[in-house]
Amino acid sequence: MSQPRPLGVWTAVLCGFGVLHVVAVLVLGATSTQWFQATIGNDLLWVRLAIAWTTTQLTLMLLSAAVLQRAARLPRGARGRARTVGLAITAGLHAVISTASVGVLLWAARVSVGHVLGGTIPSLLFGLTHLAYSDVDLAWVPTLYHTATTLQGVTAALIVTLSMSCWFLVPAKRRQRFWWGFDAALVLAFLAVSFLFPLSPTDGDDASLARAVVRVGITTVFAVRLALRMVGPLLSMFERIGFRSMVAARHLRAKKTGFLAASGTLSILAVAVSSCMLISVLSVMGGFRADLKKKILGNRAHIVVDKAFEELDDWQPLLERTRQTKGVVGATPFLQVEVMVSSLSNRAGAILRGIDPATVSEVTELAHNLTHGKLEYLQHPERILDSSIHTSPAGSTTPTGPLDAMIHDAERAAAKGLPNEAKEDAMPGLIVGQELARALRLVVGDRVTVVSPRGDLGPTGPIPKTRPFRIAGIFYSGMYEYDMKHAYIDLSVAQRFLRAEGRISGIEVKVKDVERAAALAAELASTIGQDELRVRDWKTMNQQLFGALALEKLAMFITLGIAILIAGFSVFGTLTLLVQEKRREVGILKAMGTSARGVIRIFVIEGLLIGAAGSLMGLGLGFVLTFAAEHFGIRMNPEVYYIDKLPVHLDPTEFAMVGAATVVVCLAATLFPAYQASRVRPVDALRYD
Amino acid sequence: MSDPLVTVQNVTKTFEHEGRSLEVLKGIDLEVDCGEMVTIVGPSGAGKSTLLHLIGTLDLPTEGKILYDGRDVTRLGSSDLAEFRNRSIGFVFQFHHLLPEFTALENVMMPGLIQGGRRLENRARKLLDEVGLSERLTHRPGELSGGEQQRVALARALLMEPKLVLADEPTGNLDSQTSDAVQSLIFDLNRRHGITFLIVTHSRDFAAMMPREVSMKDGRIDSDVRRAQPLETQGKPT
Repeated sequence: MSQPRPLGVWTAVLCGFGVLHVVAVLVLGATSTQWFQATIGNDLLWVRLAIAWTTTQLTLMLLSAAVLQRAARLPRGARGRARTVGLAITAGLHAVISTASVGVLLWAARVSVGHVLGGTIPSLLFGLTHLAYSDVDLAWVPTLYHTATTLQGVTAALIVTLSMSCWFLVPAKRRQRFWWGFDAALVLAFLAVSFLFPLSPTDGDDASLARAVVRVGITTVFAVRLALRMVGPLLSMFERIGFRSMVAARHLRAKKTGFLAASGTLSILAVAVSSCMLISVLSVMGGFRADLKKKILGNRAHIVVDKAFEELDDWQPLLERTRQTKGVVGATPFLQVEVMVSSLSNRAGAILRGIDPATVSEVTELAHNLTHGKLEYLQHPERILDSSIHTSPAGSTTPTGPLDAMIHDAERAAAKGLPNEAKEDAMPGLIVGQELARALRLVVGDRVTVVSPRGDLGPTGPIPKTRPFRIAGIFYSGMYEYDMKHAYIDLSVAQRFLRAEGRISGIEVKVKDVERAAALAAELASTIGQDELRVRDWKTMNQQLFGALALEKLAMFITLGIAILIAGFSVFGTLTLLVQEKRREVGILKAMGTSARGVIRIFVIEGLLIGAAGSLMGLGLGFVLTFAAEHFGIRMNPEVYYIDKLPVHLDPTEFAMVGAATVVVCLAATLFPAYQASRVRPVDALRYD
Repeated sequence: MSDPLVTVQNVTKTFEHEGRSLEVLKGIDLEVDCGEMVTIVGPSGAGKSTLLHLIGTLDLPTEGKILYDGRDVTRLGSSDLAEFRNRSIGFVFQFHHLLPEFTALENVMMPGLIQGGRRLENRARKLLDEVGLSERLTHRPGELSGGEQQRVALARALLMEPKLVLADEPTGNLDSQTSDAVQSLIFDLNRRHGITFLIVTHSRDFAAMMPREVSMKDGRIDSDVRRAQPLETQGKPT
């Protein structure tokens, strides 16, 4: 045999082992310390595991020694020798580290040393008889466990990398056959998951989440393989377009020198990674914006009609006219003032809004956002106590444990046992946000005192007016600011309490098309025709917030756009190399009558193909990432971010924009090398080389 | 006789090299008639290849004119020049210079493709058949022997039916048997299609077979000999 192949059964087994091992480490890592700690309690499993592990590692050590010996016999420089030696050494090292780390772990768990070293049946018996430990020092284990896993993971990853490079030692025909088999299996798997598994998981169901992840994973691999399979036919189609695209496609297809091939691959990857990054970040920022917009639109009106410093008298006709304006879906009056809310335990400032419960649902999502209580309690506060189930905002409404049931019963009894007069003289209801409720430690049915600045004039000057309210509901809007600062009461109650009989602060309006709110606001202002009235849409009211978001997004676009620019440099480098390599061919083409412009076009097309391949790859990857993040949800700490999932918003125009930006950058990067190519003089290129 | 096909008038060519100018051609006058077979011989450095490049419009003369059918090509713009080269001149180089990424057939078709999508596939097939390569259409240059590559280059030079084919040592790196075959192919093509050949060669045998031999020395034409002998018997070109 002319080319001795050290890659025999031995190396194949080593490779296989490396892959298996990484899977094992990943699985262990995923199940993590809880599992590990639980297992320590189970003596028998623990020992079996240790023995299995150690035995495998020892086998691996022997195996790598044997491979090393075989590889050493090969002549230096033989194909694959260096790889195999590297593989065997890594595997041997790995086995040592693995065995040692298991040993340390066992020692940490105070297991006797016998079966750590042996891993044979006698030591198993020995170990079993000596496993009398009960006070395992668990505090030791997690750090050791992590260290051991990291070490093993690193060496195992090395094994896998080396194993993969061994793949190219397999004859091309066999590799091709493998890929055909792989693709056939992949198509079947793709069809199967497409029919069987859901795309978005149902909330809180781990199994359906796993199925969805599997489906997206398989679909992605399928798309990647399909794209790779399509490269050839697509280039062939491209070749038929014309002479220039034909030459360009052939250049890209041709086997290149190693450096150029590496540079080409790297520049495609650079373009792909940078565009993927850009689109992912833009999608997340778009997600934040969409989330914020949704919450603002849900909690507040789309358009507010009010006066700058005064309240409105005689507002009924105004409300009617607003309702009749085309494009308006609903309108509701409100009265707003800042107050102090105090409970038994605490007090806090809040914005008190008097609302009309009958029409408020036309405009805001308040009714929908209530986590506890009901909107109708505002008008019928006596019902709070009738059906009162005192619940804390954090707790569930249905009693779960025996203790809960007892408390529940006691509360009911207490509610029923309230004196009759309390029912008759029912305090008006008040709806507060979740955070305010938490700060004041309130549950539905609790009593709070609201202090208004619009007080009576007493003998010693103005005294603030106070009034007791009963908590009728608790809402969660998703915006910390609203949940902490807002409280709602019935409009008529508010008017009486705030000494504003018949007056309101303004009218909240909901429109059909939120994006046209600004135009509609202007229209509304002209139909009302009262100059002293302000008509503002939601964008105007939250101008600073959205302005800041837009600025942030622009900054991100520029920062990550620079990454694309750098990817553009690598395209530039690749093309310059390509032009150097193809100088002679350019000379031939020019001698045969290709104009300078024709040469420029050829190289520009090549650069564009590289750019298009990179940006398609990047956008595809970005799509998969954002799609996965949108559907599977990346959990965030709601205590910190006030959102429980990372919001992601996929915007097709953004994808198109990023794609276009990438292609433009690549186009710019091609211009100079292409110009250089066009300047090649056939005489110089064809001189005896 | 009517106008000559190519007229070279007092052409000089000077190269600048590291600040010093080097005069390669020192005033060349030459006329080539339609259908002629001309060989340019001379020692290395005499300026044969430079003259050939100038005639082929691959380079511009420092002074003087080059006329084709009475038209001065040294004044053409670069894209007009490219088109002129494409339609009127065929090149055969010493190292054949085929495009490695394309098959023999595609290489032959290339001038037609450059010209703007005219595939001329049938003509290319016929030409390859004529040079005896009908079995090798889909082979890449790397899969062809030196003689085969040179024949592909010849076929490519003929695709656009040029009046003039310029050859720079077409048999330069071929063994004697293969170069004989290529030579007889050239004579054959001249006889059948009336194509004008201007051939630079070092081969004495090849030069001796040609009806006209221009010998160069130090950038000047040393002698210009017309032999009536070899072609007389084979019939006068049109």
